[in-house]
Order: sequence, then structure tokens, then C-alpha cells
Amino acid sequence: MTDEDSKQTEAPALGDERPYVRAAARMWSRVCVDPMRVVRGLIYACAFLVALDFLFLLPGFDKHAHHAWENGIGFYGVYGFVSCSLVFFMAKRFVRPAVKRDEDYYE
Amino acid sequence: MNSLPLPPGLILILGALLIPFLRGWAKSAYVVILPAVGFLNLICLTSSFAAGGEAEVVRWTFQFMDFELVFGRLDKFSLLFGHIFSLLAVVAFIFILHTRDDLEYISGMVYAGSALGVVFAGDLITLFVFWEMLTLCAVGCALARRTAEARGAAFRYLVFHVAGGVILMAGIIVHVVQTGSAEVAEISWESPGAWLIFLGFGVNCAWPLLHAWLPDAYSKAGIGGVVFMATFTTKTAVYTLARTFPGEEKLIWIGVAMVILPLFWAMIENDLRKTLAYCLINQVGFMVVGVGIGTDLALNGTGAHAYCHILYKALLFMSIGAVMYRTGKSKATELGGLCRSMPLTCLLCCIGAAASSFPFFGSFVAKSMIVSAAAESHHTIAWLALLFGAAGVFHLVGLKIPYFAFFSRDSGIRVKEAPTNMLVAMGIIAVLCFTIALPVVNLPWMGYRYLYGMLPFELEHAYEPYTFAHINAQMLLLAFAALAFVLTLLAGRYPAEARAENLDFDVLYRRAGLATLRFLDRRLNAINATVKRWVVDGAVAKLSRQCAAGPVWLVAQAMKSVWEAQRLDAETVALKEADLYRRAKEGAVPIGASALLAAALMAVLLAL
Repeated sequence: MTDEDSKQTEAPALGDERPYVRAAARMWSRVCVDPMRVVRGLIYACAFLVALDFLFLLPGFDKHAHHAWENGIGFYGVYGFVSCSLVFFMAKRFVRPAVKRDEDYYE
Repeated sequence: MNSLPLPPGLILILGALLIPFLRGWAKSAYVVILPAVGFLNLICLTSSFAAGGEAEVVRWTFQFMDFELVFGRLDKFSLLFGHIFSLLAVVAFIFILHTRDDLEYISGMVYAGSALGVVFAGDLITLFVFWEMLTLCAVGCALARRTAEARGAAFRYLVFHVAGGVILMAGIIVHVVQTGSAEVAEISWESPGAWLIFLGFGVNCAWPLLHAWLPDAYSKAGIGGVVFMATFTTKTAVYTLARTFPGEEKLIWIGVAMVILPLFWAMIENDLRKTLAYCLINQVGFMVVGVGIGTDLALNGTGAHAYCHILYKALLFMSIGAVMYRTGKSKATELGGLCRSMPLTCLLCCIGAAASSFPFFGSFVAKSMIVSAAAESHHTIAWLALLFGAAGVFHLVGLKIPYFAFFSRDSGIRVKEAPTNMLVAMGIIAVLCFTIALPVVNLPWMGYRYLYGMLPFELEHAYEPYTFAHINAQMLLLAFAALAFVLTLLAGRYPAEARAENLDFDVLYRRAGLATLRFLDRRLNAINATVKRWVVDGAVAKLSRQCAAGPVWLVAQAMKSVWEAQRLDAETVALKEADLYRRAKEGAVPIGASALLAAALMAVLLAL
């Protein structure tokens, strides 16, 4: 979702002219016009899921938690976000500088 | 009824021998019909087992020296693995139907047969034979790509796995000699062979430090070959570990390392097949943790996850394989925007990606059993690691793979949609990924209850995956993982895809091997050259010259005194002497001189 993508307003020429191929290309081009749509949709979805997590405060809803922290609102969300960010950060900051070599390293 | 069904592995292995003799459509039809017959045979076997109502049935036993070889140890666990292996063999052959490549067909067929052989083996000797056949077939699958780098990877695979096989064989020999039993059963640590067997299984299971063969070979193997490789090798290793070391705590920590470490390498990897290979290690890590926990729920989870993981990982490898087939590329930096020209492959890849995590897809009903088992058995660190792995792998398999192959920036590649046989194969798996996780229904291959019905243990409290709490927790995990991905991408903080070779532990033997070769070249060859200079060309040559010149010199001295007695002048003597040396060199010594030499030698001998 770079600037290049957002400039693409219509489907480019395809090798395949079948109708479903053209439809798919049109659909993707629409997303590319505004990648923020995806982000907005995702933020709404996250907010909705966190809101659902509040339901477990009501009597009759039980998480069957094995650990106390599972009962915290949005625990899994925070954990998922932090885990992924940690993978990006560690991979970029520590692993890549240590292991990256030229493509023909073994040749 | 006793002769039917047949041993499942042997049908495929013996049937494979016919493949080279068939041509054209007959060959294509045969390679699909044969595994299909194998699969039907397995269904017959399962139903006759279920009708018998026994916990374990032993069939097809042969006496070999003092041992009883068992080709058919049937129980729910072996039948579960047998079921998914047979099923996948059929679909994988539909996927490679267009290649008509004997090497790939035979390797794949024998591969599937050997995996079934390992699963149904009741003794360690039979298991070992099929185990080694797995290695050879994997090498065949890698070679089928027919490129120089595939040959290199195949050779490294062979060397590494043969080393693992030798360790396993040593372990089995020690174990059998010590305990007197070759049965595939729980192995006690008191048996001195236990460590060797443990390590031998670990090589095929791609444990940390022993894992580098997997991304190396899987990223270079044939398009169809990698589907067989991804399905059989690691899963048979998980199965044998579950048979021999269930509940072994070391496995929990090995599994945790497998879940966490490969994520970082998958993250920075440019080759999409290599990324998938690292994610495969991560998922096998879940299974290894399940075996390590060893409770009924955990082992059921291991079996169920192996079943679902085989399906969706095969689908992902197939979809990237289809992209490679059309574009000849598999690197993120070279691909992108293919959803425009390969929309069906894109859709199927997205289903495979979704099947790795989302509710209403395979993995959701399977992997969560292992996570729950970790929580229930109070392995909190392992539980946290599994959640970490689940979020991380969703971002990699679920987002990175489809995004860089089919979306991302437009690479400008315009190709045709994947061939029909590939789409059919991927379609079958995509449907299975979805139907196997359906709630409510319970029909063959439809509904998670069908899957749970195949699992080895009856649970006291039936595991229920579709609870509001579980679905919400899983969706929160996934949605926020996706949010982290999208935000990082938009902020430009996402590790950019870069053309690079990322070192892994194979650097130890790939570089060490080269260094050894160079060392031998420089050091040992230098010793060789010195020895040649001083001994071969120096001392030996000198000795040989002396040996040849010595007698002539003796003769010359003797003749000189004769010539001087004849009062010849100095010039003539010099001429005669030169003539003598020339004749000696040419081997034309006059009889007189020879006789004189003989007499002189005899005199020397007598004097001595």
C-alpha cells in the first residue's frame, strides 16, 4: 500500500480477459485508491471486538479463564498487537543485521 | 476378508514401480487412481477396525530373524495419520498431473507409501526402513526441480538426514539389544539408546539447531515435490515422538523454541516458500509442545492439528507453487499484484491463510486444543509462547504471504490463471479446510465432530471450540495482529523485503564444509607437494640415478685400468670412456664389459 498503489485508479491490461478476472481486478483497484479504508475497517472491527469483551463483565458470561489476566478487557488484543510488533521489531533490529548476507553468499 | 484391505503403504510403493512403463493419459490416470485406491483401502481398514471395536489391532506380521516385523499396528492414532496422508497423496497427485515427470511421480508415490509405512509400523526395525525411504524420496522430490541449486539442496538434505538416520539406527540397535524389545512403544530414559532415538527423531522433526535443512530444501524443491515434503517428513516425526516420548517435558521447551525462533527468520525472508517453511516449523512446534504436555487433550490436539495443518500448509505451498509455475518467481521482491491475473489462486491462497487461524476453519478447532491443554496443565510460559506464536504466524502466513504475492505493489507480471488441475487440487483442500471445522454438522469430512471422532482419546469433558469466549479471544488476537501489520506497513516501519541470503544454522555445515575443503586443499596438498619435491623428485630420483650410474662407473674404472695397461693415450681412453657411458645409457654394453662387471661383482661377493 505505497503511493504507487494509490495512484492506480483503474485496472491495467490483463493477460486474462475472463469476466471474473476483470471483476477481481476492478475490486482491488478500488481498494488501492484508498488504502485507509482497510485501516478504518480494521480499527472499527477491533473496537467492536473490544466492546464485545465488555460483555464478560455481565453475569452469565464466563471466559473459563485459567489465568487471572485473561479476564482483563481486550487481553488477547493487546497480546496479539504486542506479539506482532515485537516480531517486527526484533526481526528488523536484531535478526536481520546479524544474518543478512548477499544473495550469492553460498555461490 | 483377511486378505483385504491390504497394507496401505505397500499399495503405493509397489504400485509406483509401474509408473515408468505408462505413457500419456494412462500415466496421468494411474497416478491419481493408485492413491485413490490406497485411500479407499484405508477407509475399508478404518471401518473394519471400527467394526471390531478393539483398541488396537495388529495385522501383517512377518518373522525376520528373531524379530517379529509388524506392518499394521492399527489404532485410532495411526489411522488418523494414515487417513490424512492417504487423502493428501490423492490431492497432491492431482496438483502435479500436468508434469508427467517420472522422478516426481515415483518419489511422491513412494514417499506417501513410506510415510504410511512408518505410521503403521509396529516395530522399530520396520519403522527405520520406511524412515530411511522417506529421506530418499524427499531427495527425489528435491531433485525433480532439476536446477543446480536444487541439486545442492538435495545433496545437503541427504547428508544431513543420513547422519540423523545413522544416529537413529544406533539408538534402535542399543535399545533393542538392551531391552530385547523392538516394539514401537514408550521408551524409557533408562534405556541407553533413548537419547540417540530421541535425537534421530528430532532431526526429521526440525528441532532448533537441527532445522536448517527444512527451509533450505523446501525453498528449492520441485513445485509438487515440496507438497509431499511439507506433508510427510515432519508429521511422521511428530507421530513417532507421540508414540515413543509422550509427556516428555524436554519436548515442551523444544517445542516452545520451535514456535518462537522461526518467526524472526520468516519475517525477514524474501523467498515466500522459505517463509512458509519457517512457519511450518512454528506449527510443528505447537505439535511438539502437545506431545510434551502429553495429556489426552494435548495428544488429541496434536493429532487434530497435524490433520488440519497438513491441509492448509499444502494449500499454501500449492498456491505459491502455482504462482511459481506461471511466473517462474517465488520472491516477494519480484512478485505482487497477481490478484489481477490469478484471482482464483489468490482466493484459494487466502482461504489457506485464513485456515491457519480463523474461526470456522480447520486450525481453529485443532490448534486451540493444544493451547487449552497448556493452560489446563499450568504450563504458563508455554501457553504464553503458543499465543505469541499464534499471533506471529497469523501475520506471516495469513497476511504476509498473500499480501506480497497477490496484492502489494503491482509487479507488472501478467500471466494466465493456474492450470485447471492445480485449481481443482487447491479447491478440494480449500473446501476441506472449511468443512472440517463446521459446527453443528457431523458428516464425513464435514463438521469438527467428525474430526474429533477420529482422535485417539475419549475425553472426560468433551472439548468445545465454538464458545463465545473462545471465538472472541481468537478474533481479538487476529484483528489486533492485523492492525499491527497494517499500521507498521503504513508507517513505513515494516522490515522492507530485500534480496538477501539470510544465514541460518546451515551456515555451520555449508561454510564449514567449504572451509574444510579449502583447508585440505591448502594444508594437505602443501604437504603433498613438499613430499613430492624432496622425496619423489629428490631422494628417489637421485637414488635411482645412482643405482643406474654406479655399476657403469665400476665398469669404467675397471676398463680404464685395462686400457691403461694397453698403453692407449689419454685422449683415446677419454673417448672410450665416453663411448662406454653412452652404451650403458642405451643398454648396448659390449659382452666383454658385461663379463668384467659380472666378475667384479662375484669378487665383491666372495670378498664379503
